[in-house]
Amino acid sequence: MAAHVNLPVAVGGGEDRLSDLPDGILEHVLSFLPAEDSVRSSVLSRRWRGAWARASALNLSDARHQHQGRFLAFARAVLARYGARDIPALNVAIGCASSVGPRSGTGAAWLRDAMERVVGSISVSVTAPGPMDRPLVLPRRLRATSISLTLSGVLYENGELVLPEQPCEAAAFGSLVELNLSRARLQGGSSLGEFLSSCCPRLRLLRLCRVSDGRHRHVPWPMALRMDQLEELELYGIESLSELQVVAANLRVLVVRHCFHSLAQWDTDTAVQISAPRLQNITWLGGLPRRLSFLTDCRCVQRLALGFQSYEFDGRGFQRRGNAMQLLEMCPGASHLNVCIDTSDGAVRPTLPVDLQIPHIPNIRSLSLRIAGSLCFVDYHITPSVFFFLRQCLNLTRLHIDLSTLHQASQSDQDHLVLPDEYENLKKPQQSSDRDLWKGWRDHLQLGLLQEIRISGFMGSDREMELADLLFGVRAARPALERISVTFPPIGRLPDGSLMWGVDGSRPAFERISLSIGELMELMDGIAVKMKSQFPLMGGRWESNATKGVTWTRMSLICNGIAPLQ
Amino acid sequence: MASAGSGDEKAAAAAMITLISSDNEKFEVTEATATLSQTIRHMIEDGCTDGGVPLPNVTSKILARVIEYCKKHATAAAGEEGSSSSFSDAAFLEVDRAFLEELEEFDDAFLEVDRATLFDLILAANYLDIKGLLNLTCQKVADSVKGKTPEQIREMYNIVNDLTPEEEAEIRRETQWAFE
Repeated sequence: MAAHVNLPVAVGGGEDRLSDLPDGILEHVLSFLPAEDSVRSSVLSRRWRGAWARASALNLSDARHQHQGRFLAFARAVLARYGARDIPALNVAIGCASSVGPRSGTGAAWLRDAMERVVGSISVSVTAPGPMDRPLVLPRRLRATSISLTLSGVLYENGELVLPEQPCEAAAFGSLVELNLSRARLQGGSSLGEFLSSCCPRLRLLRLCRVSDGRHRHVPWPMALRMDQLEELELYGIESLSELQVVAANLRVLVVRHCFHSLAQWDTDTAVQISAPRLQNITWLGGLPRRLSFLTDCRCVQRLALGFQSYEFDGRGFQRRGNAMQLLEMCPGASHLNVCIDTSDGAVRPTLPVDLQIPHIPNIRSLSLRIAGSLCFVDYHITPSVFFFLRQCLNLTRLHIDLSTLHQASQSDQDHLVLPDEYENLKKPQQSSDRDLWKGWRDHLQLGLLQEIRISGFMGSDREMELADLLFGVRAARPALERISVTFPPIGRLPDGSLMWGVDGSRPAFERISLSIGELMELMDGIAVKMKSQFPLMGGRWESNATKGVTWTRMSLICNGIAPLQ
Repeated sequence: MASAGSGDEKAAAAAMITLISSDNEKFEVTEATATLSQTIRHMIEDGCTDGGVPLPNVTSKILARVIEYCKKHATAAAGEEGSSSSFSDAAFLEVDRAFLEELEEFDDAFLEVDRATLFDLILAANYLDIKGLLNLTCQKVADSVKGKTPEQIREMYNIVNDLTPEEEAEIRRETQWAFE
């Protein structure tokens, strides 16, 4: 975080508010400092002498220790001189694979010993361009309540983590409530499932990200979790699972992202079996296993977040098995549905036959759709896939459609915004048969309960206007509609005066677009005018909000003095 | 987050809390806003908020800022209504990215205050037990001294060096390993 600090300098001889802070707060301030700065504060004054040794967290990083071995000496000194045996929180960041210690002998033993002293949270994060070059051995027992380990700085190479031998001591990890394990290749006598199920009885949050089992190299491996206290489970990018079995009486949240349909599992009869009677919230992105079953019923599931690839909406290739549609059928009680459709596979024209048998989900009240991709490369027809979901959710009250990634040059270059004009002339004009088709859909779409429509990231391209027409075009009957909010992608200004757009905001956005703020405002104004003239909805009023977007509010709400949505 | 403006205004009105600053100014806030403060949450739970909550350690100027922070962050909490997920990116479909950005922007702008106010906010956040605000403000102070020499820090915060030259030399010797 490049925090630019520009506190005004205190005017002459003022009081020392920093040193006057109560001990607890002073130690809290110190806990946000790298250990180097924290230790050096001892020399400030008597008040500060040794204060760092009571800081509520130690932050060790090799970033300022270029010379190999220096960091190790520094880390050891900090740990040896810290005031108490118990350390409230320990954060270790490793930017150089060899920083943790000599390759020979005990290697990262100092880190294991330090972890044993922690009573709060432990975080070890390797940011080196590779895995840590020796295994991290987990202590036989730990008192920490939360552990977060990322053992490699690159996506496809894992650092080794040695799990304690089975059987583990009674309550060896008995305080552990939260475990976050990322880019780790597991070694040692016990499997991950065994370790978690038997050694971590209090675990409530478990997140496993790109974890592999070193004992089954190149072969899919099974994982069985039996965890009574577990409330949230997330599995992300574990592409070598053969079977997953979860028995968790208190599980509320299940997140599975990109764990099936990998090449490694090609030949495997992948299976997932879940027994979680209290499950409320399921997020599933990426493929499903060949067999998915819930041993307990899913009637409690309220929220579903599902990811699709756009080819899944191609009528010829559409299959209900193997894609996330299956989860919709399994959870008929869900009231909130979030869908992300990824168009990067290049399938541009969803051609689902209108009479296709689809699961009915009458309980969905709130639907949120995100179309991810890039319109400038893939001329994706947004309207059909939106229509596909709308006609299943007839009792919908709130609808949000997020188009904010559609105008990015690519997913990885989020700041390079491509304006509709730049690609509009690249493609051939729409065929009239297309238009007739979606107009027919619009007229038949009954959404009698829909109160609120929100479209974000809107930039007024033809595809987007077509979508707006489906949702609130002149002939669409929306008797309950109270508000429409259409927002443009956010635009900001960096300290150097350049314009900024996009997610991370650290780089200038329009550097490759020759547009001034004035021209941009004009463009946005044009979109607002277009919206107002093409969609003259009865019974309400459009209002534009400069660079934010346009809103429509039903008259009766305005009369009641309720401000339009921002 | 159902559509505002239906029949639940009465219920909302019933859940208002009055906070009274040290200079006797009264602030009406919703319970959702007030309970970002653990201190006030406990008072509400104990049923001792009738007639207002006196906050003798917080001036009206600072209380107004604290309430501004709580209002914004209470809305944020409501935005995640029901989705109890603590995995930040697990909820990537749930939480509006734009909203998170907005919250960050708010925090940055919120911290654009003079140093005296910053310390007042720290003390108020500590007294009212508002974890997010305490972390935000302490982080700001920590960021301002990060990478600075002891001399620079002393000057920045008017810290009087009351160590004798011998003591200072001794401490520097003791912590030599951190100055390399």
